Amino acid sequence: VRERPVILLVDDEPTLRELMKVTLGHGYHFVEAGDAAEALELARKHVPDVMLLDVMMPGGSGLDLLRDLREEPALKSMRVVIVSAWQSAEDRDVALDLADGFLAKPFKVEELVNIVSTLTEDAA
Amino acid sequence: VRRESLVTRVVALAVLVAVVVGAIFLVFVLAATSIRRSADKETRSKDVTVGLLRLETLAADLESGIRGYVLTGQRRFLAPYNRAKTQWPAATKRFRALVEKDPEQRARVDLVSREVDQYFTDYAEPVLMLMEFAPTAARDEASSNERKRRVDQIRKQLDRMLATETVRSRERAASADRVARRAEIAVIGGLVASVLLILGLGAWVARAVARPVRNAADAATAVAGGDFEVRLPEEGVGEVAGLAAAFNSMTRALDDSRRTLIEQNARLQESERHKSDLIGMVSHELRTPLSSVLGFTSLLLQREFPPEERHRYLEIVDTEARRLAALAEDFLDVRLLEEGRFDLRIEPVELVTLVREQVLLFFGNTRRHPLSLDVPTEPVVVEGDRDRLAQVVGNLFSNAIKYSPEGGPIEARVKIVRGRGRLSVSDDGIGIPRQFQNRIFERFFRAGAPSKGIAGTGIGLAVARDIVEAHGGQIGFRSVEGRGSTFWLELPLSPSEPAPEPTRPLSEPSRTRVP
Repeated sequence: VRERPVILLVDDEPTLRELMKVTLGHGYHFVEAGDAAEALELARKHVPDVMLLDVMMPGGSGLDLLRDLREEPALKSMRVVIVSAWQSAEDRDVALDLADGFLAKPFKVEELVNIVSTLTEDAA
Repeated sequence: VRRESLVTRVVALAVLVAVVVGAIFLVFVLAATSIRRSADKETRSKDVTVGLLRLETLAADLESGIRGYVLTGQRRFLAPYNRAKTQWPAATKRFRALVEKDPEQRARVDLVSREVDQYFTDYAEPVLMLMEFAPTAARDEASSNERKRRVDQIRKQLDRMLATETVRSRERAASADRVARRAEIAVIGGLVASVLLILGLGAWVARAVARPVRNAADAATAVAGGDFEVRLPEEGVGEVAGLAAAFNSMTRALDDSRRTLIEQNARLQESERHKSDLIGMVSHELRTPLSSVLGFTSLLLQREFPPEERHRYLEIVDTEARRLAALAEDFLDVRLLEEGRFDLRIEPVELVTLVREQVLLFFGNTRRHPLSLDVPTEPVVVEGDRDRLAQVVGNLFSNAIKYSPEGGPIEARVKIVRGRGRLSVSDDGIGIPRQFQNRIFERFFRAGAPSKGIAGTGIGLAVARDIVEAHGGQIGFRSVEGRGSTFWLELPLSPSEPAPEPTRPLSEPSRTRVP
């Protein structure tokens, strides 16, 4: 049993990863990825409780990554929140279908805290 | 090829039918006339026969009257003779009129007349005179062979005429029959010919007109159903071929305009997609820095942080707010370019220094993109607007980083080429697909970058080209998809190099208006 829930932050903007980290505070263990390939590797390695996933990243869409991750039985318990600035209507449908939550950028810090704590408490 | 007109053909065929039918009626009328003439001749033959029999009766009356009177001596037996003698001239005259056009019969009737006259003068009158005073002598005379011979001759002559007339009558009947049969054949033949001709005309009209018209109707239905490929054979008589040609040019025109419409529609859809992508991109580009600004400010307002952390977050807010401002500038630039208002503050600018400043800004703390900088030892002074040129150089560096998502070395080189200052920036990134290369400087054009998750507005290069060209310079690139790109720009060197131009002090830069 882990001491603290593990959160995987996936975003190509370092400042946004930092913002999420500072917002969520010391109650979590953070793992950070700047692109989809890195995120896949880290997800397999750490099996995070929650993944906060950006959609539009250089080197591959977050939604394609999500589809791949959902195929992996080891990652079944991982909760995913899409954090996105924009996507097409089809993308939104896919996101809502595959993810456990959705946050639109710019998000309110309270919303981020609420959604992550709800998902980690559910898992606990 | 000159085609005969349909009207000409139809008129010609109608005339032909009319001529044939007219000819048949003419034959029919001629046959009827000929039959009537034959019937007239037959009637006359009968009249002739009747006349001959009458003459024979009269001749018999003459003979029997004389014989009766001579043998009995009684006067009353002489009555038939007297009656026949008075009627004979008129009967002969009437008969002669009947056979006027028949020389043979006329000759014979003349002969009979002469013989009857001789009979009167040589026999009948002398016998009657002899009866007055010598009845016995008269009786001998009456039974003489001479008298019998004369009467027989007259009779024979009349019989011969009768026989001739009978033959004539038979011949005429036969000839009338022949004429009637010939007329029958001609009329039937003509009827068959005109029936065939009319059927032929119908068949020809069907083939030359009805079938092409039906084909045209079928083709028109096909066109109505959306098949614009359908074509009619351009053959047949004038108007029909003309209809086919007109129809074909109509379908060709329809096909062309449909194709144009489809192309236009495709272009519209592309531009529509383009616009939607642009809106998405702009929204993405705004939301990302906005997230940092709003997030960190609310954290700073809600929570307490140690001074260093606080400072760091304020710096992030500052940087991201500047990014927003720069974005706003980009859009402003686009507006200025579109409105044709674009002011340049022209002054001597040292290109190497300017490039070094931008290198520090973009490559100061990244290890993903090792930069190699190759610059000459002497200064490269160009004429230009320092801020605008910095914007262009920054754009080339930011593109080199953005379009090498896997990382990779970037090479920048400054040199003087043919009296111009040249900067080139090379990367080993994703490159530009060939089919997009001629549109890369178009405003808002992003060459498939959104599908690769590369953010941007499609403004940078369009603005860069406008700025470089406003300086009298040139901008261009070489690129291979999957292997990287090299963008370069060339600017005119400052004529006052190395010192600033004395007539244009730095404190008062000249302003150039660019259309």
